Amino acid sequence: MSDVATDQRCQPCALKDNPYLPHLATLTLVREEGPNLMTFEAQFNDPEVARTFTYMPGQFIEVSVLGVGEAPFGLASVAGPHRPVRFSVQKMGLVTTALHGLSEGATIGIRGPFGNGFPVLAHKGKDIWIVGGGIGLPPLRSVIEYLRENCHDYGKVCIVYGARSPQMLCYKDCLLEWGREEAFELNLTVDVGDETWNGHEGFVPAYLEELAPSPENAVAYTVGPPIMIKFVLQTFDKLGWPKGQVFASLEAKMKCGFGKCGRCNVGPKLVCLDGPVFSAEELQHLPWI
Amino acid sequence: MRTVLLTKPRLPAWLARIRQRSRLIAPVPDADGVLDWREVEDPAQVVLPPGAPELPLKKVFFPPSETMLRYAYRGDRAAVTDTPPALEPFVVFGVRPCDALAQRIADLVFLGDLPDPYYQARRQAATIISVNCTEALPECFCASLNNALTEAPGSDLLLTPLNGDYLVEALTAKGEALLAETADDPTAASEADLARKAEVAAQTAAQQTRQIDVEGLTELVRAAYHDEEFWKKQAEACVGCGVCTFLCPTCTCFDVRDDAVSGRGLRFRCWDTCQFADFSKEASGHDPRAQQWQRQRNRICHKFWYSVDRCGVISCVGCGRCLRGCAGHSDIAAAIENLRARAREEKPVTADE
Amino acid sequence: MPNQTDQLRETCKRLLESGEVKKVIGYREGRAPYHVSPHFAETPEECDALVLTPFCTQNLVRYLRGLKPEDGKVAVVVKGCDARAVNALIAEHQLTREQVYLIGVPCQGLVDVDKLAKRVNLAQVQEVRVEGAQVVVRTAEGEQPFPAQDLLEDCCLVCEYPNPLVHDQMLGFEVAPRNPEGVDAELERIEAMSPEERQEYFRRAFSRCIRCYACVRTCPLCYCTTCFAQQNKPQWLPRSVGTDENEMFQLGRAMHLAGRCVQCGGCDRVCPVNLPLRLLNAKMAREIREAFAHVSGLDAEKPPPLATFDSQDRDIAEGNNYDR
Ligand SMILES: Cc1cc2nc3c(=O)[nH]c(=O)nc-3n(C[C@H](O)[C@H](O)[C@H](O)COP(=O)(O)OP(=O)(O)OC[C@H]3O[C@@H](n4cnc5c(N)ncnc54)[C@H](O)[C@@H]3O)c2cc1C
Ligand code: SF4
Ligand code: SF4
Ligand code: SF4
Ligand code: FES
Repeated sequence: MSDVATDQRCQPCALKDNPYLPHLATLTLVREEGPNLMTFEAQFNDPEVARTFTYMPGQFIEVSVLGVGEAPFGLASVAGPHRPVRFSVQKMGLVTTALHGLSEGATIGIRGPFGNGFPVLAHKGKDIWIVGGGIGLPPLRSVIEYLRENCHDYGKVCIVYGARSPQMLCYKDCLLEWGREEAFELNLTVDVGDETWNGHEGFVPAYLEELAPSPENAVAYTVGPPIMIKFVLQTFDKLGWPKGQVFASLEAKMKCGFGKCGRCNVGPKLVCLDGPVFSAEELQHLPWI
Repeated sequence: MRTVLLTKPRLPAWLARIRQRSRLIAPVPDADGVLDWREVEDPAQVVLPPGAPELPLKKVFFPPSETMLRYAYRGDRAAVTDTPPALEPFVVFGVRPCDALAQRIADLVFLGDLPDPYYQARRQAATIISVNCTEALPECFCASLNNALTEAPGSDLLLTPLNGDYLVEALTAKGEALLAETADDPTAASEADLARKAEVAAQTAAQQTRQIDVEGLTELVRAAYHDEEFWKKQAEACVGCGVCTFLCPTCTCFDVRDDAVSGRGLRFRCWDTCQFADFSKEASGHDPRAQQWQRQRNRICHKFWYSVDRCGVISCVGCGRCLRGCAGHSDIAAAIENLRARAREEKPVTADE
Repeated sequence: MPNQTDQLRETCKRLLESGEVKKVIGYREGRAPYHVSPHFAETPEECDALVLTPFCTQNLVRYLRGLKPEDGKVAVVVKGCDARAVNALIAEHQLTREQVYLIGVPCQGLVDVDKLAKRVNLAQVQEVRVEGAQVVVRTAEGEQPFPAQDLLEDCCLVCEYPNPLVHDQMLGFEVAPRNPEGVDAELERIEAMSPEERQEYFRRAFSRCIRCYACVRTCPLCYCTTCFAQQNKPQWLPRSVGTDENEMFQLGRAMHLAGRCVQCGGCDRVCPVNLPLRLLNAKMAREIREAFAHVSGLDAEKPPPLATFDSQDRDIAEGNNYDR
């Protein structure tokens, strides 16, 4: 567990000292985001929880659909009193399918926050490279929005984001906004374009190599499918980035979210507790792919 | 801490007194003769065969299945209530030293910074009375791994049979209190009795034919991690059931699931294992341990490497249950020997660590 | 049975050397004589570890699962029940006869370690032999005979087919079946119980199950990729462990194995909490035999009756009376 990471994490907001007990929350926004992808915003029913529930970018929550089960999702919003909690969900199995069937006003359960998050506090004053693929963007949105709110603390924020097709780029409204931010540099790419697309075509790692970011006073955060992460890390290596400056968020099958159920281990590390964010330095010692 | 002698014939009366104060749990056979950790009605029911009983002590604190919360939902309204076990103090008798130590190791997972409330409630309510082994099974190898036979860590009271007596040692304040409240005029033990206890422990240890040499073991396991051929060979006879891990007193992995009908439901957890095919399979279909040999590797690495990294202890206590229960008699001690043999052959270390 | 073991090793070496088979699946001794493990030999040298003892319990046919035609031929050591499992799998199109070289071992019965432990100190045991009606146990103190009745596994005591019905080579001579009449006293005892007694007996057993799935995973006929009990889309039964769920699981399993189980005793033997799985399966086998005159594994051409539709089946030919 890297010290930087542990220092800044927000501890789970446990009800009655029982971290397994979800807080009830009401869906305030349900939005179709793309093929099989939906975005949800939820407000906690208990005003005290709504006021105090806090988290850092890159942490995650366990979402319950009562009667179906629970699944982990990366937080896509920035914490704040009474701010709704946002997450986006790709339809995969039991819980995600059930979530896709819910509409505004429905009650869900939320536990968390869990995990370490990106070490943004330790990286004040630096340029931040955000590299995302596909549905890796929602968790990165929490970082990007955080950096936007605290822009005076950071240098340049460069976003490199790609998806398989223009249709599959998510958070298009956010992308527009971020593109207009002065301190932000937005670089989009799609694997295969179509008649609507006049931007860059190609895979994220290749695009990153073209952009050739300098490691000088910079750090990078990446979220995406494992194979993309693997090549993104290789690209940063090639570009001469020290491994301690690159951070990736991993996915693993999870149940408890806080180090008890034992299934999310990657070698000796538990992704839910020691991660999901690991530095490339840690990852080189872990059998994660 | 108090150390006393209890003559063997007085044991049932002592247990009966304990039983009057609180629930008493011990290995008790059912009508088919199958032992389990059951509530004792009459001390005569308690059976202590040599070695650790088939079912591990963990079952008392971490049952194979338990309800964690209940909920009701209708339309947009819902209510969730948790179901923590509200427990009166209870006593567990007849615990073997390896199991008591194993429970300590399980504590490192379940307690700690953010404790598991269900486990914690049971753990706090329990007083553990261990009974030392005088006869090792051919599958036992605790003596090579730990000090369970001599110190019995994790026990509140330790009984060691010495001919006609039990030497009763209070190892914790909890044990001391139980002894003070329930022992009926015991004789104080002498230095000689303690020496006899050490002899008993040494004799039991000497009966053990298996060993695990722990010297530099974690490093060896780590170094072998990428040797696919080695692990494949080790796992050849593995059928992928859960026996080794379900019976293991330190394996504590679980699954969490919901069960609901018409607006009412519950969330429960149940034992799960890294040996099952869907344990780590992600919803996307990606599975970091898609093959059985990778799952067996995970088990061995967990015992001798991951636990050491995470909790500072080897999480095998040498009870031998995995070997006893395995359909193919896969022997964890033999696997470690093979690992050492592999290292002696100086196979090129392919790990990048 | 030293000759048999020598003969086995010779055979296996020859098969590997000539390239006739790619792999041999047999048994090797563990640290104690009563711990025998499956052994997988791919070189002639590895054949030296092969043994045949009364502790060769595992049904090795289970390890043929997933064998693809391109994997080449595999030699397997089979006892009577194991050979029937081969037939049953062929009948269910899980295997072809050409994929396997069967080394048949006429079986005098397996020794039940739990029964043995009740009579001798296991740590002292050096060798155990089955000699007809006797089991001879050798310890440092010498040899001691016991009645076979007291030490053999239950499934062996009721075995009607100890000689492999299908084989490419047989080691040794055929043995006389212990139970040619198919008597099963234990089963009859359960059958004679009142429904209430029987329910109590089985409910008590089901309450013990910890759902480790050892029974499923050791069984040569339980070849479903995911057992119905572990599936979650759809979820047939909850994963929670309780008498009701366990009962559904075991009764479901017994139904799935009806007319398919070959009575090798694997599930019963491996269950850590002694569920009487042999009895459940023996009862189903008996019912199927009475209703369809079918015994699993006798004929590789004959699929299990519950997996076939036959207009001559009695309930159809004679008209069923379920609707009444
Ligand atoms: C830290 C983290 C952050 C994440 N963030 C996001 C995010 O922001 N957005 C997002 O969309 N996803 C995210 N995910 C992935 C998301 O958690 C999974 O897609 C989700 O858990 C799938 O749940 P499900 O119930 O729909 O899938 P299921 O696969 O149905 O899972 C339910 C359970 O059923 C079991 N199961 C499924 N199929 C079978 C089968 N055939 N047989 C037996 N058992 C089966 C599984 O083992 C699982 O326990 C994240 C994951 C992690 C770990
Ligand atoms: S790994 Fe095996 S021997 Fe070690 S504690 Fe677990 S069950 Fe006992
Ligand atoms: S059900 Fe049991 S006895 Fe029958 S074939 Fe399977 S393992 Fe053997
Ligand atoms: S082997 Fe026994 S305990 Fe395990 S699942 Fe089967 S019946 Fe249950
Ligand atoms: S999700 Fe349970 S230990 Fe990580």
